[in-house]
Amino acid sequence: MNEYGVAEVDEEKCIACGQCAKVCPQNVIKIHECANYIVVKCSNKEKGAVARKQCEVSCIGCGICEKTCTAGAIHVEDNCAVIQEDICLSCGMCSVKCPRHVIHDLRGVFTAVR
Amino acid sequence: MASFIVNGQEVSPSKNQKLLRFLRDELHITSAKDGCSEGACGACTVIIDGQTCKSCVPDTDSLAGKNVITVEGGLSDWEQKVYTYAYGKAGAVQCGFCIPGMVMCTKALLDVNPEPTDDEIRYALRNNYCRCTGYVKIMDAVRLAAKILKEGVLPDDGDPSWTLGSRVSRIDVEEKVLGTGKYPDDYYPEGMLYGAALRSKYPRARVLSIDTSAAEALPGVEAVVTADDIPGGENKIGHLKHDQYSLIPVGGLTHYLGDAIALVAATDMATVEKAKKLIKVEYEVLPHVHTVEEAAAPDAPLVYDEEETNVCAYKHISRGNAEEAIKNSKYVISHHFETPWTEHAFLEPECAVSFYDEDGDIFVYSTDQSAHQTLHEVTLMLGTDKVKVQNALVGGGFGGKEDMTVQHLSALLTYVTKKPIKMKLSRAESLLVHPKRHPFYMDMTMGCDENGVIQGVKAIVKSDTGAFASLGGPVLERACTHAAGPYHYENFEIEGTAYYTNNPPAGAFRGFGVTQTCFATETLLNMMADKVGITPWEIHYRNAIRPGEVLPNGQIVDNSTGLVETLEAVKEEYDAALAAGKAVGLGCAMKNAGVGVGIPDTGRVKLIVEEDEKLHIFTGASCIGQGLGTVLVQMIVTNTDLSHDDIVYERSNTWISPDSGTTSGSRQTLVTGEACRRACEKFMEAKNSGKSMKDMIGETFYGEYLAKTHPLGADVPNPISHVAYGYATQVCILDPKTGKIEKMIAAHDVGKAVNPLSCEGQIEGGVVMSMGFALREQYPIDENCKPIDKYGSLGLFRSHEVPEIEAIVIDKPGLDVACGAIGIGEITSIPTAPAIADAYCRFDGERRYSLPLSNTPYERKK
Repeated sequence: MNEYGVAEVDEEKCIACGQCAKVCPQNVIKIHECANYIVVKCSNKEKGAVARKQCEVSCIGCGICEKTCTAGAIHVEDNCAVIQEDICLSCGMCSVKCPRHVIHDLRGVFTAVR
Repeated sequence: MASFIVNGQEVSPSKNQKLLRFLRDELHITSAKDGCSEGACGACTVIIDGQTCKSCVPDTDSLAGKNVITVEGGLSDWEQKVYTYAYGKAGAVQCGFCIPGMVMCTKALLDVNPEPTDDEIRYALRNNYCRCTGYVKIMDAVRLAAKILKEGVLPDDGDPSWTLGSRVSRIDVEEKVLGTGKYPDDYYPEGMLYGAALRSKYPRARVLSIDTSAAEALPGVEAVVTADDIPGGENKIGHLKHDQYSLIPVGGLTHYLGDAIALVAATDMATVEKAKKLIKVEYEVLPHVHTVEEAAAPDAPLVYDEEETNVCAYKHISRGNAEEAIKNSKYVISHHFETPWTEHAFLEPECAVSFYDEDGDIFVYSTDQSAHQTLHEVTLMLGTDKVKVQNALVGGGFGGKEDMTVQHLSALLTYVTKKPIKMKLSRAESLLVHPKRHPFYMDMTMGCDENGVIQGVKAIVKSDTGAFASLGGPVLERACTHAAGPYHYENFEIEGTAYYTNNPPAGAFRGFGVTQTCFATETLLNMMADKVGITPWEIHYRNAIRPGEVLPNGQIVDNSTGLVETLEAVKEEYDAALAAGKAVGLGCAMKNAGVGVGIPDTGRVKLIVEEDEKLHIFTGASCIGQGLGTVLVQMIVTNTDLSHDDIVYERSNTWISPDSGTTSGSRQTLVTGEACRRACEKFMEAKNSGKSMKDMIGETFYGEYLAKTHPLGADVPNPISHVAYGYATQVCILDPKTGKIEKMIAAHDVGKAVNPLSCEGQIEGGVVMSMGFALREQYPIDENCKPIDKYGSLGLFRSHEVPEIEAIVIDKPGLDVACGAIGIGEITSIPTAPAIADAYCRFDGERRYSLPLSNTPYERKK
């Protein structure tokens, strides 16, 4: 648990056993393809207006990412952007266009490392 | 504005823009290529702070303080040598457009991981597309580069032989690896304007009026051109049939969304796009034709005012009596088959740069499959032959660059403005505009005897040739002549119709109709094997054409016919896989070398001794990435006493290089190769008479070869439809655990492999391309005749998805021209889909009759 009271994964130590994803009662932990460094850092399923009030960095389901993506790899599902990792080309275009800065480049090149 | 570092120099862009545009347009760093500007292709890859980045993604404002490296300035001298050596030796460079991006991925990987595993290499390349190589040799190059960097010294290969059969590094490796080689988009003439087309809003509509006044008034716009501005010449051009409108005139009918209505020339692309929006076009929207059924309906809307029906081409071929033979066959199978539209997806989008040269000619830098064809169509449109065309490097074609796209329009804008023009298609335009692979709808019946020997085949095929003829007629013809397969039976009948619709056009694409019909023929033959109770290998072996036998098209095949050898080459692994209980599929194919069927098919080469005392090769044959220049150098080394250092290959142009026909029909190695050999004979006569290179400065040695063939339907008992055929057998082995492809084996008879390394590269690239065709690629078009996908969603295979591919190159002498070299090119893409389809049938028992195959692990989720 980090300083914001949110579960945070140390990617160096993680062995992708999947236990945490199984156990999480909110179902917010997903096993992700480590080679894909473009990630959506939100799982808020509330409608845009509500999500916007709840958090500064929430996905509001605006769909700009979905329209932009050349691979058809990112879609808004239940009001939140989800990346289909096997077809994502990790180009980062969605991370650059996202008005809420929810989509991150884990390498820190297209978006700042938090 | 942000300041950052590019190749060690501090830079401050004057305005916020995508990094790729800043690199190319302001810094003239052209190794980063504009393949899509959508984040898909990877040709723009650079390294930012040690990480690979597609430079079309970030805005320059976001890069403050960051360190950007490109191939030109970011590699040390040592790295340049290592990568050039490794990529060349491994045979990783074909058209070269993806290569600078791949080199960036290689450096980023090896800088942090000097001894990567195969998986790590695959992953380092997985976001970069290549359409030529199938990634196999690019991975070999990375492995080799890692090894050399570790050892610290370049291997000494001595002085390798360059004669036919040598695996030499291609002549253009260095310029492609270091990014110095120029494709048309890399030219930035002084005072250059940008040109683009306003395209039709509706697939079928009457253009009532065009108001260009607001666009013309926009500052920065130098010209807005409509059909009225086409001087003296013809509005309608076309590769064969002249039905392709350069610009739709007022009162004219639009045929698809790619039809150009007006052209704009302005000082920058932003102004061009603004101007396009200001052009007011009034349309009378009309019902459009979206399918073959709609096109064939009795009261169908006509795609062309000039035509009476929507039939673009019709072919009926019959030899023997197929109906009778099938009636008397023990086993008969009949089925309906469908193959989809697909897109070439070459890495380099179409681009032309044109300007008036010192002779007062319109000079065009072109990426195409024949500079002379480009010259012909540009002069047809302009009504003047004061035009010169020079091939720049071509970033892939596969048939998709045979037709005019930007060349004639760019030339027209230069004619009107008197200024240099660059006209480049965006990737979205490229996907819309150039002709695709025809979708085929086929009904085929095969009859066999109790031993599985084919008695007769009857087929009816329909194709959607879209908005203009392009090469729709010849594709249909080729489908008809090859649908029977490389087998020794006499009773074959096929009826084919190509329909116009308001979809994007369909034309030449590697395989040219045979890729489609072969899927049907091979599937039926594999189904027959089950009926007869033998393996697919065995049924193919029993039916395979052998030297001296007669093909279903009546041609007696010569001694170079090596289909049986390709079958034998795969037998051991095939049997082993079967014995291990794996699902194995097999397919065979034959493909013509040379266009054949009586069409003029001439190769022409001029060998000129220039001031540098070297022999310069001038031929109108375009290299589109297949390595033609290297083939010709090797041909000359074999047929003269020159060393490869004494020979210079010149990219084709139209004022010195003689017309050697289009790079298509897998014809250049054979046809231009033979012309080259004949020129060598003349050169050697002169040399052997005592002349030195110095004595011969300024002399030209000319060779010409007509690949003479009989037209279809010629009144001879055994017509020579093509001068030679290549043959192949491909095998697909599935992994029993994952259901994915474990291995592809591709055995190809090429007569004489000029450069086996290049040959393997063609095989691997063709196999991966047709894996895409078999398993995943589509080009969906919506009901308004608009293509839906972007480059990244076409379904092309990526480096980490490619299975093990074993390429087996087989030499078989017998062809009496071109030193026995038949060549390769299209055939690599033909037997793959039926081999994969059959493997999946053996895996899960489901026979599939259409592509892409359903219910495989590769199937795209909706």
